[in-house]
Amino acid sequence: MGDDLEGKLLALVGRGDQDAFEELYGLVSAPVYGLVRRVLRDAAQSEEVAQEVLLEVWRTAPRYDPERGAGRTWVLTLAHRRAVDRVRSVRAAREREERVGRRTAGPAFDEVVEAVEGRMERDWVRRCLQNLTDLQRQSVQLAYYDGCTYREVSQRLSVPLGTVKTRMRDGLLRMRACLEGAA
Amino acid sequence: MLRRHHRSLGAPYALNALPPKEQRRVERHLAGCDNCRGRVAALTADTTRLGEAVAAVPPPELRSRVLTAVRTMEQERPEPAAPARKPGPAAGPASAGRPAWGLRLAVAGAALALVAAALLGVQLTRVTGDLDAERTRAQAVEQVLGAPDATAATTTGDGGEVLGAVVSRDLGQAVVTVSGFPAPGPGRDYQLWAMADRPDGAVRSAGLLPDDADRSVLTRALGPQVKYFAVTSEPAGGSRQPTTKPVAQLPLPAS
Repeated sequence: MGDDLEGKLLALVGRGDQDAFEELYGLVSAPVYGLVRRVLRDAAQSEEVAQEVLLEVWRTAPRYDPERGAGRTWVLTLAHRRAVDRVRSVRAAREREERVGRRTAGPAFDEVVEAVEGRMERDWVRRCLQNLTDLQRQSVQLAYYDGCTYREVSQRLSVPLGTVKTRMRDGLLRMRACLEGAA
Repeated sequence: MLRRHHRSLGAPYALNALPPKEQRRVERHLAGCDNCRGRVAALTADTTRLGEAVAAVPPPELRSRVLTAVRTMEQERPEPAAPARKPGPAAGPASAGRPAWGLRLAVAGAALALVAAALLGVQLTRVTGDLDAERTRAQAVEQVLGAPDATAATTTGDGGEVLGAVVSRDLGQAVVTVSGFPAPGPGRDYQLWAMADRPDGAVRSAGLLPDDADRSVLTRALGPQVKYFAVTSEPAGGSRQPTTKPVAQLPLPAS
């Protein structure tokens, strides 16, 4: 991802370029929708939140600063925040605990129709996640895919808060090393 | 030098796993620490890989809805750097906090009540028609009603004509509802106007009301300077400037 195509498009979108936005939509809509759907599960809600996110990309593109990171990261960070905002606010805490409890046992990657172009990446990420220790992997996945705070992760895995924080960091760093080795 | 505590929060921050208070604390810290920003940016890029790994093709309707909405949606320009201004939320999506969904719905509750009847009428009476356009419109309406700053206003004309609007200044959008308007008569149309101020400010046409002006819901882009909506009767096809006295005139909420 050496040249940041999304970032270049975002710069154009920030100047009101609708064609650039359409092109950007083609690049980011599948990751945005897939991620939101992974966190929310519910198809109708996911579509709604994905739409909010994509419109927010349009509205706030003038504020995108390439110095702060790649365009794709900017968009996906926004998508993740909105998805997590939604799970945390809409679902009653109890209901969420039940859901997460059921889910932790299930497969990490689910039935959602996966985008063809993401398949390579998905396979590598999946493989690299398997390289992590159980605690690292669960900490990262509960936070990112299930929208748990690190406190919730700590309760769920019955490990101290400090341990969760370092496992999250170690997990991400180990995954990075693995993916860099794979590239 | 980076404090150990903050350093340990970098990964939970990148994973968006911090409660709001700690998240804000980390953001304050990041603002003054170049090294930490770099480290957190790298961790955030790592999380992006997790997101890409679950990419899934969205339903095709999403594309048309989003691209349609964007055509009339204003963008948020960053405020010009003015040293006197209070330090607003940090740039970027990271800190663009929003009230909880439930709260937003509560705020828009009045707005919903205002629009529901008209919207329902439109959807029930429509036998044929472009469903996709209808859905796009419903989404646009929903978006305005769900905006945290959505505010409703309504006015009734001399003949019982009702002109209402739900305005989101943040989105730069308004949902306009009209009901109780008699048929405009042969060779006439109702025209909607957006006015900067009364009585002699700038006026721009916001389009003709549809034929079923008895019950309609329209969404319109709304510049910050627009203070009034008005409806006049005009020769069929509309006029460049209003040529008759408004049938209804509605002052809009400022923000």
